[in-house]
Amino acid sequence: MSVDVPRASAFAVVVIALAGYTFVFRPLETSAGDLYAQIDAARTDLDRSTAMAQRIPTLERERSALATELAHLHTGDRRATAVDRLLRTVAGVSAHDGVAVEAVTAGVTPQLTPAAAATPPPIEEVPFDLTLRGPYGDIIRAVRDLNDADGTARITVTSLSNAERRPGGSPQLNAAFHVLLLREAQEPPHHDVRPR
Amino acid sequence: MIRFNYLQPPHERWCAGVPAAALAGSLRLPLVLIGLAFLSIAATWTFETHRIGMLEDQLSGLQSRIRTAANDERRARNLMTNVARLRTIRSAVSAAHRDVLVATNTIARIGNDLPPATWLTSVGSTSAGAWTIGGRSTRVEEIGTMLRRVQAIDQHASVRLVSIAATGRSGRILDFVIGWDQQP
Repeated sequence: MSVDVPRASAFAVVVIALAGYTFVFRPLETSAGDLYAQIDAARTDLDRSTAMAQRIPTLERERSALATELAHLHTGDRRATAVDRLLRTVAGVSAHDGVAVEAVTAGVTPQLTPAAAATPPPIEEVPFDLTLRGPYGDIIRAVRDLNDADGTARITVTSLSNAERRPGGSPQLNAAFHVLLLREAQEPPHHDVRPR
Repeated sequence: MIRFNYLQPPHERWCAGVPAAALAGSLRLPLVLIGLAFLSIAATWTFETHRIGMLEDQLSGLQSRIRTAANDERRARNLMTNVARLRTIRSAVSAAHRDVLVATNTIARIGNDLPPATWLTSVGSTSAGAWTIGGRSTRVEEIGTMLRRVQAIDQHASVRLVSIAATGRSGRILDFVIGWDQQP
């Protein structure tokens, strides 16, 4: 039996090349491909993190400006302080605008549903019912003055009705308002972003 | 005396057995090709291994930078949450101030636009923005004028006459109620 040397050697070379491709080149190339994919993902992550980090100074400035702005409105006051401020404002407005404070009644704060309690709103509303008595123009001015005061409240007119006129007096109105004192809800602890 | 070492080392034995010059000419080329094939596989393995090593180093460096940048990213995210929260508060405060101004302006305009011989007895509102305006007039046409003027305050609102009823001893005084609903 004679061996065809050229054919046998060509076959051997092909077999070696195939084996090299299958057992050496392909697995290593797959590993390299995986590494390239991981590197691309890592670069994307890094770019995102870097872009976020670059926004820190702008965000710090905006947070500082907002905090300063809100500090003037006393939204960060505790509830008792906010109520005290409202009462003082009402008393001041009453004296200034010549309206009488007939009643201030604390309302009932609505209870949050379990779903809403999971993500509480950033603003807490403390409800009050306020009744003023005075001439029409003074009542309007009093409400505007309450609005311009340094506290923050959402005031809605519940009713305006004629009050019993006193002998010799000008027409008076009883004005009932629903006041929602707005204050910053308790900040969750994880929002503390002061640099350590 | 000459001593012969009959126990030759293996490579000497192999060379002695198959000297290069003794290889048949037809076998040289196939052996070279097979050798080249093995050599190229070895070169490929070396190149790929080296490349993978470099990629692993590069990945390791990137992961280290990501760990460092993650703290900044966390801080930026917390800041964004904080800023969004403060913006919400500011918006709510601004809206509250605006709503009060709108409401007082509306009441003032209703009062200022009263036709002759007409006066208000009550103004009520609901949280949904609906108003009920009660008043009295001596002339029914002035109630129509009142209705038109109230509509003129806000063109987007729907103003409707709810009722007119004669009252008083002689029935000359007319009680009226006007409803005012905000259009959705």
